[in-house]
Amino acid sequence: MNDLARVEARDVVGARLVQIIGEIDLSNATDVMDAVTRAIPDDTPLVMLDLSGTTYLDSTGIEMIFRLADRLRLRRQDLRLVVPPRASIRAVLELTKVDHAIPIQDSIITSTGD
Amino acid sequence: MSGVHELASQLPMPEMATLLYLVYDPTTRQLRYTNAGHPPALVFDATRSTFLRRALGPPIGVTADPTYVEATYQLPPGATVLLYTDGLVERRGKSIWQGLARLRSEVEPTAAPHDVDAQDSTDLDALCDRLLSTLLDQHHVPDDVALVAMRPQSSIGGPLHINLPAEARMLAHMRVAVRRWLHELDVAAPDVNDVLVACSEACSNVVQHAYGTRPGDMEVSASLDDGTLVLVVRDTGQWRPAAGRGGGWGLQLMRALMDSVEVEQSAGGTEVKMRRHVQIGEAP
Repeated sequence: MNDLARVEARDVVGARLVQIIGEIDLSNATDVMDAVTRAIPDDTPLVMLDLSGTTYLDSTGIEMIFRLADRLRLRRQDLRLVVPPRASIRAVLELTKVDHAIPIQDSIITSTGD
Repeated sequence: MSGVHELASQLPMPEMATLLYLVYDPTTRQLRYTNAGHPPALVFDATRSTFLRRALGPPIGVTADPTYVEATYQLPPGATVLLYTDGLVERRGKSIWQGLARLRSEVEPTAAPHDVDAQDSTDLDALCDRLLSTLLDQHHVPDDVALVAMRPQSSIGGPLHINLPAEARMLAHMRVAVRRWLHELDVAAPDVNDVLVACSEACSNVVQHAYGTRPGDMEVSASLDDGTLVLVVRDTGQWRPAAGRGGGWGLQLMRALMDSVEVEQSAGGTEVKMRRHVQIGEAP
């Protein structure tokens, strides 16, 4: 992966939290996708893809997220995105209707009753 | 610098060398430099000129254990940095200080007559030609001469024009340049993001579809007039249809983020022209 982005992962209660920190574009989307996939064990029921630290995202990143969602669906793993309400990447996620296909939450803290 | 000195000291030759090493950060407009016995860089703009005399150490490979320090200089917008070898300023029978003073008087606007020459100082190639022809003794050039002139593009208020190789790794560089230009114009943050994504989408298309396996360039021009941003992304390749590409979100995003998107294809290449009204300053 080039130095535009890095991927960090850790276990939180009931889920695997994968953070993408930096920018995702054509130059690194495939590598970021591979790193994210590697960071997800087969037996994780829920994956939270944390984009709080993602400072740039365009259609290549959107395609990456949809591919990841497809792959996880086959493995019967749930995917949720974490995107702060005022994040600059929100516009792109909403325009491409990612929010219709994948649940987006504001922070990694799951709301009560979730 | 110390590493270079050690390397030079180990060379089996009695040569010494001078070295001026500069790093320029376009975001902060800060020059960091260290100098091993080289004639000082000259910085000048339309109103003043100054030599970067600080951080001066001995030439490389001369003293046993030299200390090299670093100095910084805040480059004013529109200023030019001139680097040169001593051949430019050294003349027989004259001190190097006379040579430096002469160089300085050549770049000072008051010295240049306000006709054709004044115009010359805006063009770096013409500037170098003029310095070489006026400073060098045509009949006797005792030393070789190298000259480097650098002027960071001062885009404040003016249009942006960048030309980069059409490679994926260049997209981030393109975004840095466009982002800086938009910030200098005080375009509001959400609009900056929208424009950056649209511009990056257009450039990604150039990278993926314009040239096939051939190398080529992508060209980004932008101007802001009365709150309307016009952004043009151009290539000189043959557009390949986006067959087999998943989604095709790129063009869709460009259309959603900008007020208008026109794609014009010709035998000479493809031009994508986008317009967008932008907020100047923060929203009320």
